[in-house]
Amino acid sequence: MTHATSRPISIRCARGVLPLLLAAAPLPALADPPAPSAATAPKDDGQWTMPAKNYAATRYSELTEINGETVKRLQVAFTFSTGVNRGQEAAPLVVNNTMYIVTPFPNNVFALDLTKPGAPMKWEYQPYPEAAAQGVACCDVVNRGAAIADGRLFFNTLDGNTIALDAATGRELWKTKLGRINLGETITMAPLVARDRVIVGNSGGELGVRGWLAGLDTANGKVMWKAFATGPDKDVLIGPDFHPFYDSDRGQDLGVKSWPPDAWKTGGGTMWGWTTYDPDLNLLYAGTANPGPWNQEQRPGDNKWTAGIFARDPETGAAKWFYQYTPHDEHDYDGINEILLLDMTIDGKPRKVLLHPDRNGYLYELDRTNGEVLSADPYAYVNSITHIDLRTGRPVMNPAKATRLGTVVRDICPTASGGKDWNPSAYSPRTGFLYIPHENMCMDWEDVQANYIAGTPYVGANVVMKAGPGGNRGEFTAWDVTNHKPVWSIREDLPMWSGALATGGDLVFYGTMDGWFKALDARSGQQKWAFKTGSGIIGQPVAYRGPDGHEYVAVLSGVGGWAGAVVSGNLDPRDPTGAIGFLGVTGDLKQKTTPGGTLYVFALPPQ
Amino acid sequence: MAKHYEGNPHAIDDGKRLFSWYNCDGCHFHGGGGIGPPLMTGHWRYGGQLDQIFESIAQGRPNGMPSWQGKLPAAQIWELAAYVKSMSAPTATNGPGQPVPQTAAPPLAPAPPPTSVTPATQSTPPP
Repeated sequence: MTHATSRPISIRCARGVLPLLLAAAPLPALADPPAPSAATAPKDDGQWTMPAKNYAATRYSELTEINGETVKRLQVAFTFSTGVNRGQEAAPLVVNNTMYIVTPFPNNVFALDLTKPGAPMKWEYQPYPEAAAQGVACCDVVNRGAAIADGRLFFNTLDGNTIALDAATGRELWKTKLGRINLGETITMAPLVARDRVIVGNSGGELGVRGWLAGLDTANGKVMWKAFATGPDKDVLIGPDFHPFYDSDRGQDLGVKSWPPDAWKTGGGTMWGWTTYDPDLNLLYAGTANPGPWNQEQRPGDNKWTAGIFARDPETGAAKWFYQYTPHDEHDYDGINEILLLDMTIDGKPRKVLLHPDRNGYLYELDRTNGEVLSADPYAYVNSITHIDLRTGRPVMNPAKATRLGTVVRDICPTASGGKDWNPSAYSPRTGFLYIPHENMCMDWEDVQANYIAGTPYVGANVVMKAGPGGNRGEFTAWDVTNHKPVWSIREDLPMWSGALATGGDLVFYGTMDGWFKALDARSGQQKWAFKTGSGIIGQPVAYRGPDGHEYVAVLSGVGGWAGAVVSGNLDPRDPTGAIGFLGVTGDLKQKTTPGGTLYVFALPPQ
Repeated sequence: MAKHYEGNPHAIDDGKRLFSWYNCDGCHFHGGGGIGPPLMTGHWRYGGQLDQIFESIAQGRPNGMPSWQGKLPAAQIWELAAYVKSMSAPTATNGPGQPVPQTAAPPLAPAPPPTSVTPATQSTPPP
């Protein structure tokens, strides 16, 4: 049954409850909104083969059957229990009338036959990862999904394996061990297929690991290259082809020299988020996560190449350029959030850009051919950075929010989890808006001495998070990418941990941590439909065309992740420092949702 | 052995220091839990008697708790166990089931709200 009583915090006005509208006047008639290139966003075939939908990472479906007129009739078509009550962050994939789901640890994979009533199971694959991997996963035992290409399904396991399956039968084709849990390495990211490489990176930035990104041969799983995010140039795959835009990224072995002696060996810079690829430029884009430990006094220097983004050759891994969003990060601002590829006209000139809403609260627009920052605007409440200096590319930090040993620095915004965390935005080429699911939170932070013991946390900070200005912890903002400003914004009470989906029906979808799955008008932000699922939603919604020719929308429900660990791990919020500070801001979540793991698929009722 | 350490204030004090020293707080924090389960609830996956807590630390447990036997002297593991057990113990100032004061945590006095506002939270009337 549909339901429409969900009430995002919004402004009441004469026309009733409307989302917070920020444009003072109707926009003048403009040229078509920016669009991705054909190579990065081919015409929609109704499938969903990778979590981001396409290399442009728009998470935009061209399907129009479910729209502002029809969505009020949207109802459940079928459900499926994943059998795992931990945080469900994966995107369901749809290829050849089959739906594929990867669960959190133990990372079981299910194929569901969409041609039959109720979508019965076609096959299941169980990788049986090592149970001890759960003890080195910083932020719940999540998995962000699979990728499918040429009849093969690729996914990662928490204990550090990449596995290829025959998508038709579930038969294992190859399995490659990449991560070592005894060093604190896990893998939680969704792999990316670029040409004949599967791109995989590690997690473990809170356990003193050394971050890396690897390119595996899709045919046999052989590791063709592995690029570290710290250490000497030869380990980072920096060579003669490396041409960073800014002076501060030029020099020999900066991955060693920008650290105290040997600190780069436990310096983080993992890659657990989103990578993407531009076939025209033959460039692979991959961010790097926070430096470790969090206690910044233990690692003076820029800490290259953490908290930034590399462009690489996907065949060889060779670095082409790098840009560091947050040099010497001291607030856990990883650089691994989603990267959207758009072709835009800027100052009358066509530019190939990438958009990246970073953990540090700024939305970056980079020239993706060379790494030049074209603009950087705050999309969330930020007081730790005053602005981004476009001449040097460096953020100008607010010294009052610098973290220190033995001092509690209060009200740093955004939190360690960022203006937004991993949960990806969507972009509609019809509206020209980027739909950003994000946070509105701040934190108190005290640096403490971190001791390195392999396979245990290496953080060195006491953190307590809290709601940001206004008291709401989450927000869903439509951002006009041409005019660099928010158009409307929905305030959500709970932290926002679900991804966004935009459709040709001019709707946007997202979920809340208490289980509401919502559809909004993509232009006005007005809520058009909502459904209460069994558990909080932290997954990635998708849309696809079923074998019957009709549009379906799918999402996994099951709270968890860093933000929902209080529920999925049954933690005790009386200790606000728990879950690296998230217990301070999720003390009420156990009263609002329970653990779960269920796929929900929605469609319009048959006429 | 357990009798000597259980409720022993010196052992609990030493255990608290070791708890941070050996990164136990990286997973269990100040009792609320994170990677590892909470330790302040009075509910125990593998038993809450002092010798059972000792065993959990010494042997490790299959879902991620590492084994510390051979890395730490047994006396330190007993002190850790005594501290861990104390986290859920009722005290004179805290009724049964109430948390032990978390002196290591940052103080939590409410702070004044930040004053500046981002574009995304400024409101203008709808057109």
